[in-house]
Amino acid sequence: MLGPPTLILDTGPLWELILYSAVHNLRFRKLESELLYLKTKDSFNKLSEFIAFSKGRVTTPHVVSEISFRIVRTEEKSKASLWNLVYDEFRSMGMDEELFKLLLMPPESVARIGAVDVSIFQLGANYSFSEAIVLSLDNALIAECNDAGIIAKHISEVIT
Amino acid sequence: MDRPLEATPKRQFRRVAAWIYAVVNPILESLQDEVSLLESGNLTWRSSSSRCERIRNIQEYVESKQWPNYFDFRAEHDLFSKSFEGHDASLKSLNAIASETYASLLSSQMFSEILNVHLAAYEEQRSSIGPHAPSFNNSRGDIPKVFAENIINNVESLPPHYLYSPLWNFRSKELLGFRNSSGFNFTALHNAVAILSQMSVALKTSLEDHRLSLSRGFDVPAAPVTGILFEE
Repeated sequence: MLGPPTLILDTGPLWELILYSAVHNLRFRKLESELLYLKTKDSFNKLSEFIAFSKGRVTTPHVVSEISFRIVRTEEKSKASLWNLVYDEFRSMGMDEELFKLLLMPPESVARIGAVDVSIFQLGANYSFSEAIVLSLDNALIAECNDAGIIAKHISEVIT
Repeated sequence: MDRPLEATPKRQFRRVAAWIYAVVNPILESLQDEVSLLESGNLTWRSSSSRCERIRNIQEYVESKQWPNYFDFRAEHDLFSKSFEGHDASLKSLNAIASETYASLLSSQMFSEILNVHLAAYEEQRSSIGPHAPSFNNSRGDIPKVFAENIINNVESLPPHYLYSPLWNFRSKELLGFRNSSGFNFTALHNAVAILSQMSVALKTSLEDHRLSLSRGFDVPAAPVTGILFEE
């Protein structure tokens, strides 16, 4: 590895970061039960350190759509603040986005793991080995990436 | 304005339940968060909107589809209606003062000079700070805006994955010292926070007392309980 890798963030870890900030910085206490992995300050710090080590952070608009879907499920009065929080998080962590059009995705891959996972997989495939790491909660995507020589980690590997 | 309720209590217990569940409880939950944020000095004030992100007008603490119940509650509770208006007026004042403080910091030569000193010290000691400490020499960009907002919101430290965290965390305590300054409108800001905090605590206590009185008077639980239906 020549230097720190670019970090490719899937929906799960990003949503965990957004939820953690919502609960602890903005006091959205009702959302605390939705946190699956970042249940302690220590686990948050470990993930934050891991992200900090990366050269850059990137995701796809498909992931943003999934975050949107999750925000839609929250109470109506919270939606605007949660969206503002997403903007703040993206801005604060220097998040970039890269678009992969559906018509350019292999249909068999989309049928197998879905368009969101394919967008993350293709993003990873754009980098040389060890230049990027995919971070996800999705074991199927992680296996798909690893089979193709793309480094992919589950959030639990980072926070334990 | 309790007279109509006292006249026909049994016929209105569902209306009272709507007040408690759709109006009073959400406001109480939000006031608890509000008091906690104000106590910590985290105003959640955002320069992009010139308002506190999580401290809102009372009506915004109620789901919009329940606003008819909110208006109904206000129509029957003149004193609470006035308290809500008082809270909202204090919040408006706080937002305005925070905006003035922000503008005051950004236009201050002293603030700019102290940031320059801070930046120079950081660059000098960057290699000893840690492996993730980037140089900000060529990207001063939004630093004054981000830092002014952090000072207003009493942000003690930023998580490591935030771009400005190495620079902010380097000497955030010194920068937060601006909050103790007699200039930059901070005295007015602290006063506005104290006034809103007092109002929020008093309003929360009054609403809790009133909920208890409604629960006793109309035999309505303070929160919905599975299996207890409101059928005549």
